[in-house]
Amino acid sequence: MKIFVRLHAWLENISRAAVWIGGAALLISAFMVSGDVIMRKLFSITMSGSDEISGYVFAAATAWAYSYCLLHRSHIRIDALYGLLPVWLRSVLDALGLALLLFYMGYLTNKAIDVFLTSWEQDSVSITTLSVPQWIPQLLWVSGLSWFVITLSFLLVYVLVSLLLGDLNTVQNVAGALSAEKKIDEETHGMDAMRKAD
Amino acid sequence: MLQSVIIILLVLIFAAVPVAAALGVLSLALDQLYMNGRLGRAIGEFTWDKSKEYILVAIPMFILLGEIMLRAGIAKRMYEAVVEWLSWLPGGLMHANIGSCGIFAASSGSSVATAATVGTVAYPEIGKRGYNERLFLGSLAAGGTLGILIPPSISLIIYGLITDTSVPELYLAGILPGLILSLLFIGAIAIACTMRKEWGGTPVRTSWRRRIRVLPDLIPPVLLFAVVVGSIYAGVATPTEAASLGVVFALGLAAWNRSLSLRMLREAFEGTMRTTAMIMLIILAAVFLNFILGFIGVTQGLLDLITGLGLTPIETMLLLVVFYLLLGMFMETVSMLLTTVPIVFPIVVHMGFDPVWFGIMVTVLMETALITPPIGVNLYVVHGVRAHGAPFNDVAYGALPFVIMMVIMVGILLTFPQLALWLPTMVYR
Repeated sequence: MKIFVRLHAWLENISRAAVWIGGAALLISAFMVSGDVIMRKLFSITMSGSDEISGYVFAAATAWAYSYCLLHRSHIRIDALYGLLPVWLRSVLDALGLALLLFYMGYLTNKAIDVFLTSWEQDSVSITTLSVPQWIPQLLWVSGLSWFVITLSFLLVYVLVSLLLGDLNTVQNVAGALSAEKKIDEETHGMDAMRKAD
Repeated sequence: MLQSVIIILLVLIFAAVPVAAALGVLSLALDQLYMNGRLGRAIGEFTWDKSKEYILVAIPMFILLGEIMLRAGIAKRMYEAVVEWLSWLPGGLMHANIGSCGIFAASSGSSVATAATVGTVAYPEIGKRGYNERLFLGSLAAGGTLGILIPPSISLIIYGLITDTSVPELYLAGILPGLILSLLFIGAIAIACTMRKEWGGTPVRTSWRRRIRVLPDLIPPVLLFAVVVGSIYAGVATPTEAASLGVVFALGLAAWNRSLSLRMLREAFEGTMRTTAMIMLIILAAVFLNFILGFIGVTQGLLDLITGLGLTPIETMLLLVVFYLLLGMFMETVSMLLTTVPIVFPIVVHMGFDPVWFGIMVTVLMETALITPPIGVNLYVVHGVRAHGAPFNDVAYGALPFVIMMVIMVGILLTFPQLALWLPTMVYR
């Protein structure tokens, strides 16, 4: 089981790095878009393009953030009933949820790879002044989706093995829906920093 | 077919399957059954187009804006300034809770961020001044919900996207109902504390001199509101551009307050991307399901069914209100919005209701969902601010008077739809 723990930590480190890069890229997009607005308003200079690029940044950054969200168990699940069930049944539902998410994301990612391959083969470019070759942003997007599918597959195997070994604790820790208390921690995670700032 | 769609969806969702997976698997299954999998083949192209949609870029931007504001260190001073102005009312600081939430809501698009920020600053005052803890906590949870009604609002962007309604119009429409709801909250506190004097705590002493002196502390949030919402109405910026300007401005504020650091940025990025991923995964699945439902005629089927019932528009709307109030007790709001609005919206429009008005109506109902137990995110957030060991029920009971005010607000909106439509009509129509 040690190998699973190490792989889990490794996936999380990479996913966190991806989230930092994605967040930074969004922040840079915010500056770009703001620059565009100010130039347009004050100097009547239209430097179109920041809208298109921020769209690509958004698509890629979001795709790369799915894994981080999964490893933090933050994907939304309705736990009104779940919370009332015995822990073994909850663990089975955790595995089922992962399997269905993997099925859906696997299908989607497969079709997304087709989109990328078609753009690559046909040299498609966007019909804007920038004429961005579509395969570049699509590659970033598809790789994020693929990373999510890898994380999902790993987590499903981890959960199934733990289930077979009867280790329900591990299942709850890596895939259980967040308890109210955990949710509070996640929702209010920035407030310590705020207290200090004041 | 309609019944099976609804039953499968309900079973999957209440089996705690991730909401995005429930929607995604349902769309693929429906496509297999009724279209031989022809639409599913287009899911790649479809999702790519939506994933890079410029209007949606506003969502991570508004979340990032909120995450930065949460850490920018302006909340405490703003709260203290509002205290000087509002605490003469019976109920003292509780009015400052509502007022600060309203002001913060005007620069943030999220209810959670609003409740968390104001809650952290206000909580220590309960003990110091001997307030009724339940009502005080309730005022924080309820005040926080103003975040999604008073513009900018993330929920209204999502509503605008799935129903093809103009986001600037929705933002204008939210202003008056947001103010009225704040006044209703303030009224509820004042009445409760006039009837039970001991709930209101020790009064705060202040003077006009102090009131004037604290005014500069309100400048940052007011400026941010002017930048974000003002730029939309001045016709200078689209919602996405306004959100980007807001991010840059908030970063400047944080730097001015010396709270900007690499660690703070990393935390803001983590929070932003986690929430964005959480929302976007569901949005993308919901938009695709919506596309499939339209194609195989479920939407039309539901429309025929409802028209067949022979209900008047008002009866239908009342039915919907009850449905949302009940569902809101058990469902988280973003998933509630995304799973129900695509189905309900065509009916509502068919019955002759205004899309912008319905957006505000749904938002008020979602606010209710945020503070009705057992599942109410704002209740969790406010409970999380407290010292440990106190029962969760305190917050839920304390929020009850505000739930009643929200239901009254729903009634007001039904009786006077102009309240929501007056501003957008003046500016745009």
